[in-house]
Amino acid sequence: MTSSTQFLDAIPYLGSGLGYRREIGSWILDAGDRVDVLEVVTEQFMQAEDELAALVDRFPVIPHGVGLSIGTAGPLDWEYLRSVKRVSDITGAPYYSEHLAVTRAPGIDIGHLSPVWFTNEVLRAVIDNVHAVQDFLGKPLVLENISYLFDIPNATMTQAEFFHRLVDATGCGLLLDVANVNVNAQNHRFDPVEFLDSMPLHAVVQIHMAGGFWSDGIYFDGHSEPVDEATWQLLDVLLERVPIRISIVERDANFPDELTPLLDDVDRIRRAISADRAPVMARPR
Amino acid sequence: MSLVEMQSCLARLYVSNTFRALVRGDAQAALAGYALTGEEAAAIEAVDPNMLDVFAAMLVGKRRKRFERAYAASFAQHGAALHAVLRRFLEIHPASPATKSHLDTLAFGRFAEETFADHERYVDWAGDLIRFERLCCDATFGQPAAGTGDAPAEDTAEDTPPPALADLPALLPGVVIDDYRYDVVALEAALRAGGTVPDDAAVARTTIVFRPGRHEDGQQILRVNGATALVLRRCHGELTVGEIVTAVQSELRAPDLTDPIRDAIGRLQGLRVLSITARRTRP
Repeated sequence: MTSSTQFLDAIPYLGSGLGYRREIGSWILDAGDRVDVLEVVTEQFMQAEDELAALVDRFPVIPHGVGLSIGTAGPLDWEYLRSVKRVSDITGAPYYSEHLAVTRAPGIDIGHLSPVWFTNEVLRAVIDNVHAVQDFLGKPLVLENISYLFDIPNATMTQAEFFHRLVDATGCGLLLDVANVNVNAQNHRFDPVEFLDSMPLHAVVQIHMAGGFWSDGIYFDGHSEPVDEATWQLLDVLLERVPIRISIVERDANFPDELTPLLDDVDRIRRAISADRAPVMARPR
Repeated sequence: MSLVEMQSCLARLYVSNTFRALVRGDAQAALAGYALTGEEAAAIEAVDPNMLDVFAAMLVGKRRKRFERAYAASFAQHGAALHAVLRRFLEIHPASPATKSHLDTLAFGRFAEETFADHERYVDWAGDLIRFERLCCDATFGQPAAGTGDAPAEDTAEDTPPPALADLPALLPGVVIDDYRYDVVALEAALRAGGTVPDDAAVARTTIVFRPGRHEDGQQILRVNGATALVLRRCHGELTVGEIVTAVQSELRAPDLTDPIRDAIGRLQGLRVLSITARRTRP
């Protein structure tokens, strides 16, 4: 694949949807007319291809991985990637999404997303990995900004600069997790709007919306609560700057007794992203 | 280039309480085992220690929750004891070496089962129960659903014709048969429903067939009787249906079992437990 973002431009508007979780799977299927698009966690369907195919028959489905570890230097896990490709191919999605994160090191599965070190050396490794993954999957990779409890000190560039240079070098897209921006802004005390303005918003393909919780003075990206007001406000700010083609509400735990609250959020986002706005498209710096 | 070393060191810092303590006590000595530049070592030492501890606790919490979900019945019955076993396991294995989290879950199950084999400390059925839960987990996450091959789709199981005597039945890949001294299905159901099981639960020998993958009919496991288990254990692709009939009749000292065995093999084929891998042509 080329490094141009032309492949991103071809990704269509798919609307507002939900992260598919088996705990609420039957409700989602029953509410099909209020869900435009589903996002599935890739790893949960590597052994359930028939189940995935049944979802693809009903909805546009975007695969979203958690175990690629695109930030890890050294060889990619090709056995894992072959499984990813099977899932990606079944969905027929126009892109594949993952996190800009490290989840493994030689012999160690960290078990969660950890931050990359924003240095030139890491950038070179990530660029190589993104090229390899895009070539192998035959579609653009769209990378998500993660929430982080700490960063790796002595970085030589900001996260935003890292994303800019990565997008420029590979043509990959950005999955902007609006909730993560809010979480990080709360925990690390920065201005989330300034952060948004520093990111390569022209490469945004999709957003995530979710809610977290406070514990001992830390805001956790729990995906366990309703979307909070600060995140809704950030979405409004974002929509003034860039059109959004796909939105996913994520809920991983503490599921409500019925799907209605989540569907209300999906509806609210649909109204927002499909509104007749004329945002000033962010341009590469 | 030491980026891989840097990332290895960071990962160890995240997962190992011991290594974090060593770095905090004497960073130079603790990091000496890694080929790090001065900048890399300085960055590692400067990671926010409080947030690092929170992150490490979060990693442990995620593993604990995964184990508690997979072994819900065992935790319900042996909560304190099993949590003690879990703490040992996490200390010995602070991280999974594999990228597939279910392998970590299976490793904990094996560790707990071996620990529960001490019948002076644990009830006799504890090992049976956790082995059953481990194999359920493995069937769900460890293997894809068996390919259809010659096996018909499940919704046509009723229509599956009995095999010919010359057919060669074989277990589909990933199918596991396991024997238990106790009725683990009943034990697990009772405990997951919030009930209790007496320490001296009645012995009730049980054979379970675990089917890989997820099944729309929810029949991840099949309880089979002793005769069916005898048939299944001979379905390895080397014996014809006729040879299996002869062997089982002999073992059970029973009269002609041809039709029941052919029917059973046909049903199990329909349920994607067996496939007919080849047919012997008659001379």
